[in-house]
Amino acid sequence: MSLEDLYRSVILDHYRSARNKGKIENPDFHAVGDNPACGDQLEIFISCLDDGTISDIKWNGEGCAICCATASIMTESVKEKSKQEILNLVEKVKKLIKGELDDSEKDDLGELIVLEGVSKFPVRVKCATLPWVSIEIAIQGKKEASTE
Amino acid sequence: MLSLGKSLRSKFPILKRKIRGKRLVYLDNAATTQKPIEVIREIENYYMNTNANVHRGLYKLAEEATSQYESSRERVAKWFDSKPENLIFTRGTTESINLIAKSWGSKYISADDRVLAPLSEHHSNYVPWQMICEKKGAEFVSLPLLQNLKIDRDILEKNLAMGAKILAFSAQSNVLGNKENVKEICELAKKYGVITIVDGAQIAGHSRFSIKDSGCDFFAFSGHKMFGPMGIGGFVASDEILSSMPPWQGGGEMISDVKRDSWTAAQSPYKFEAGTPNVVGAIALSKAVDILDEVIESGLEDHVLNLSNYAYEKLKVFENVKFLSKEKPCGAISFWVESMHPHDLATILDQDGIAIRAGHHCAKPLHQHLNVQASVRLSLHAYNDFDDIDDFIESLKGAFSFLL
Repeated sequence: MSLEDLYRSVILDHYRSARNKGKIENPDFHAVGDNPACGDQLEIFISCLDDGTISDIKWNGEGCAICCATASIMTESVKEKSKQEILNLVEKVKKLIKGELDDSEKDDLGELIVLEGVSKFPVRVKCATLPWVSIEIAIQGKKEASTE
Repeated sequence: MLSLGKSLRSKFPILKRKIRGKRLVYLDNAATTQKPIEVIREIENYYMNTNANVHRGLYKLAEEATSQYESSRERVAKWFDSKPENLIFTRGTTESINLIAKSWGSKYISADDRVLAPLSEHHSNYVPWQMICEKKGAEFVSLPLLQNLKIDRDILEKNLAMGAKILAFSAQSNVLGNKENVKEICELAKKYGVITIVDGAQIAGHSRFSIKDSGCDFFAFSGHKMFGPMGIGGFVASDEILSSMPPWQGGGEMISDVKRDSWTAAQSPYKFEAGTPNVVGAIALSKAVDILDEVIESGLEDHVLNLSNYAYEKLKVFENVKFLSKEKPCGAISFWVESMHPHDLATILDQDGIAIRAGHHCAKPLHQHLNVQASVRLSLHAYNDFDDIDDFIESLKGAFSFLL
């Protein structure tokens, strides 16, 4: 286990120059995720097309490198997906972060695979989970999510 | 006299531990102190030789356990300049304050009463008061602070004069390390007939504290922050106050009599100690107090001050390091780093065996007031030395170059 397992270069890149950070006026879905252990908060804004696929997504908030980079990578990975596809992805990534995902299920994860290293740092699992919990709650139409 | 710093480390077995091959640099003493070998042996000895339930058995072991438990109460009460019957053992500061809020608060706080606490308080001396105020329809008043983040005496006095039931405050901040003048604040509260609750969690591990001199009504402490084990602590209050309070839990030990349809409470301290108490915890705490006494006598306060100054000077050099404290911090040094989250720093420092705290340190209102989401805290004790600070600074430099 080394620091580079957690802070892969892709993660540091997304942390230093975040993608899709900001807000959407009048979003179709919006939720605030909260990690009570550290006080990190994350907002998710989603706009959908008529068929329900995600046309735009933004995230906003302050958090650690792992949380912010994960939010950035996540927003890139969900565009043009349907709500059900996203919910499936959320389940899969949550498992990946905890180190519970079978190798056979990892093939289609693309860039998201960098989150695997988080599983070696149990105290940081919640940091990487917060964006996924937040998007899950947002597309379920709820307003607030928590990692607790 | 003990020699503090490096040479004291041999007394604390955990400090020999390697973390990922590196020396453990323990800088989270405000969260809990490490335990001296004598305290660890006391726990072992109790279970190897003495274990029995207290206050009931009529055999040798029970007699010894009871006698050791009550001698510990005497020792700890004396340490705080109080009497054994005025010391209630609990799990620690948090349980003590909850007990006071539930027992004293339920009886004496009514709708339209006011309860005062500075916004810098640890959640343990904040939330129990918010809870009882909610329940009773009373007003919880979060007192603003001066620029230097200490209690604003003018605002305090105005609030006391407006009428209040309780003033709850810490003798020493767990985030900033600064101390309040407990005696002056308690005198002021007394002038307006307001009951004072002093959170002594931090001060009890670093200084001698006389409850008598301070003039406070309640003083709560945690054994694990004073070299003792976890799960033992307590609070002290006067005979008059304790006898006016109802028990908070029912069960064995807290009664003087039980009939088919009724019960009567025992005298203090037993009235507040329902069920089997943490006997071994109390006995080990008594040993911890002996060692703390010696450590304080050997110059703990100066030692911590010297280390704090050293750490502060070293940290000040970094332009991106911002301190929470507006004064030179002592004991606990909290800071944040521009464009770097404390959790990332903590993870990176941990790779070098350095244990520091990252987050809001159970003082969210203070962090909100300072507009800081989270901070890094290093907190010092007797076994820390300059080498700990040097290693911490080196690791911090590494973290900066890694993340920026």
